[in-house]
Amino acid sequence: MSASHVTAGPARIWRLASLGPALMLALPVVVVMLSVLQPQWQVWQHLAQTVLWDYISNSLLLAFGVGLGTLILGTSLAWICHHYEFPGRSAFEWLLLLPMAMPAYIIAYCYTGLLDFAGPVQTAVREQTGWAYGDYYFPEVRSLGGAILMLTLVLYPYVFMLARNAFRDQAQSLLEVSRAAGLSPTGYFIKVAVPMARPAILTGVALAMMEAFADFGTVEYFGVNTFTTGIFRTWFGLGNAQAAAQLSALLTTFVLLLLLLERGSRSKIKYYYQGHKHHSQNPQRPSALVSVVLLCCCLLVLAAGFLIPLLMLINWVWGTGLAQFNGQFLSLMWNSFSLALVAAFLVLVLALLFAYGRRLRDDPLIRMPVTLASMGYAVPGTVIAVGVMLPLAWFDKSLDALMQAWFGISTGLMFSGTLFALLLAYAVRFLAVSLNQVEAGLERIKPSMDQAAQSLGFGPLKSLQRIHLPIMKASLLSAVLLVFVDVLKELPATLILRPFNFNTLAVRTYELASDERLSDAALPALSILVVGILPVIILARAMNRESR
Amino acid sequence: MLKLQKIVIAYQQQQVVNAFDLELDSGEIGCLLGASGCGKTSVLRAIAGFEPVRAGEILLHQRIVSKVNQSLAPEKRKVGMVFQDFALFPHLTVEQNVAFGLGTWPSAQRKQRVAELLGLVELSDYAHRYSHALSGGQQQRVALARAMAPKPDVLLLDEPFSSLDSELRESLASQVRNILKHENITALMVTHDRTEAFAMADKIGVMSDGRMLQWGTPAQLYHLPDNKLVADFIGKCTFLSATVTGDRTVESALGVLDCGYSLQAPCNTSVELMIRPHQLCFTEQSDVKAKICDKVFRGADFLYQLELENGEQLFCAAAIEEDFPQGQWVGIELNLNQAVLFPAESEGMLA
Repeated sequence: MSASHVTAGPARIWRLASLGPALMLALPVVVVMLSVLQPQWQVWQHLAQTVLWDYISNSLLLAFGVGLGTLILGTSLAWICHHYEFPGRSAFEWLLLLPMAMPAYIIAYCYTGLLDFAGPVQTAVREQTGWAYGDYYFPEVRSLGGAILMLTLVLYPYVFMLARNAFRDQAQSLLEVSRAAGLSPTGYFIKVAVPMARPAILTGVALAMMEAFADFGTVEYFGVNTFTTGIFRTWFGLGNAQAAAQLSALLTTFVLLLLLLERGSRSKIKYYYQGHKHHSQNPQRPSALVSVVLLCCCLLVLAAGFLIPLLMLINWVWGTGLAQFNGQFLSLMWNSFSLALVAAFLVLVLALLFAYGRRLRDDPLIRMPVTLASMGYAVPGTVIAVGVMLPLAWFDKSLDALMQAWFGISTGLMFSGTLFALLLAYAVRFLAVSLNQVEAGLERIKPSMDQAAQSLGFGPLKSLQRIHLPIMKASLLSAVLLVFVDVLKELPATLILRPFNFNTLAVRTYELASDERLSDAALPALSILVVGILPVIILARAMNRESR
Repeated sequence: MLKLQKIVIAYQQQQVVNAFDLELDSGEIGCLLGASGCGKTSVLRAIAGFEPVRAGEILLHQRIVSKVNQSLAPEKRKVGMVFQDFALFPHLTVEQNVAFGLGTWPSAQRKQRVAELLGLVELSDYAHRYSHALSGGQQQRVALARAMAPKPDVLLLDEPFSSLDSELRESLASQVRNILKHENITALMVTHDRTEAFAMADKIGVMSDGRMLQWGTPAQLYHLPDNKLVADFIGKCTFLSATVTGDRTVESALGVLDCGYSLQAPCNTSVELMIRPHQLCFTEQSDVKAKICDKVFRGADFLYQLELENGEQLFCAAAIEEDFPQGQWVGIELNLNQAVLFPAESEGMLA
């Protein structure tokens, strides 16, 4: 038990400082969920007659398709890398994480450019065969199936990573016992390895499905009607914010179910492996032929999920030359990087405020809104944007009216039309990312360190500065970096909430692609991708450290 | 110097320390001894200011630092603490760790103090190392130097030797005692190991279930325990049933014994007589015979487990020259200066 009343002074100040931000971060999700209290029957009737079932069925198909795809791809790749010793195995352990760096909407643009009628593949087919338009069948990328494929290619690393760790935690003796009991390696995989890794695999699948529900860029570009595109259109097409919020509430309900699955599975991961020291399993050396096949499988996935789109982007950038690399592009970079950096530090400060406050004194008044806010990673950016916009717009309007009435001045859109709204949305969406890192960093510092500092005359704030922050430097750095990249890649919330005339790399990529100017979109897309590789390296290193 | 008056410590509804008193004079080294979970660490944490008191008061230098709903923050108490896990700051060198609590000192004095302490704990050559490059015993001494550096009014040591090798423990304990005495520091340690307590402390308090059973010098506790729990905890002993036969005499299976003081109990009162292993010796002349049930070689001596004719069991420590086989009957004799008697079937002390 913590020293509750002893630190009451600083803890009370901490509590006051935490309460405001905590409530503010919880607000968007609460607003969205409460919007159902004022049902917009007319809009719902209209939606039900037209597109609502499309939204529901497409979103569910997309999510389950991606869930199934990542389950198969992620688990089998993890097993291959775990169980077999083939050339390049250790490199693939981290290379196969690279597709995580690829935002889904960017891979969608690349494959559209590659596979559509005017793209190099179909052109080559026509040249080889002499067929013309309509003479042959070619699968359409811009479809629900295409979207499932795109998302699967960039989201399978979630499952891969968690399954890989889970397999590694299985002891050599477990394999030997199973073999002695008459199971073949395949039998072991089906009857022991996968059931034991199930919580980890399900956690990864749930995360991938959340991302699928949240996707906006891909489905919008492919013209697939899902909740996220529907929310966008209800707001900007029909101009009905309340109805958009209610659609958001429905989507959030789906996502929260997944969140329950994820949380439940995650808690079981610990239960399944009560971390005793053991020898992890030695990989098997397969025949040369099998080695080549395994190598090709890994290479194929890596190529499809990363190399081919990367080459496509480079090719486009090469084709357009350096003409694009102008002042406009530089200001785009500056906007994106400075915004992402500010957001990353803001979120870090909030995460520190909550995590260290909790270390001083676990306070239910703070814990509840923080828990609610840290669910934000599950809530789609579109939904968060709606949840941020509604209360801020109301507040701006009220404030403006008040100021007009009393002082005759107009304050305009002080919060909803500025970067404030955007930063709030990022904070809600990415708090959990930062909080995870900060909490992990703090957990590694034993409570006796705090007490030692205190008994040597250092109050909580001074110990934070002199003890905690220096010790957890690495965690802080990865917290900043992970949020930085996430903000850089984020599309829907930025698109909805950005101030007038403010553009970022992600939004510009989206705009150019929507105008069918894919080759022009390549430079900003490539910039996002290159920076996005950084956190993958962090993840790969963290995975490596765990294995040692 | 340090005074605890009837303090109560509780977590949620469960009281872990109850009406607890303690007093330490300046320069004295005290030790709380007890099994794990007896509340001794809670007392220490309350003195440091990490735990609130539900009742009672803690005074340092006649100043109240803890009472109900009021508590001076730990960083303002001038109480040093050595932690069980040492809690050295991993990002600082040995020197920086020791200097950590000297932030407000002028730089020249700070340097001098750090050098002085590193010399005292014999780690001057390690000033620029980081804690992970030190052995357990060295880390322990850095922790001690760090806690002593700001010249605290009281130094608290929470199981300071428990994470060290057993061989290292005793030598380090007497070394630490010498350092504390050299600096004339008032200190309070908690431990569950009585040899550590004997090696370190001027006064020892035996705790059980959140209460102080007895507070006194090591010799007092060993020879004149207040009750059977203390007697048992402070050293191996057995209790033999006996009956009061006169003003100063009791009779047991070992014969009639003159206690050396007036018992102030009526004749025929049932009592129990405490016997430590070294208070028994073998003599062929004795009429009292016992059978050797078991024996353990302990290096300097044998510890014999004996059974008397009436079935009562005793321990006897005997020199290795007296080597008797199991099952043999031998004559034994009781050899004590002051008899310690407890009322039968209770834990208080008689007379």
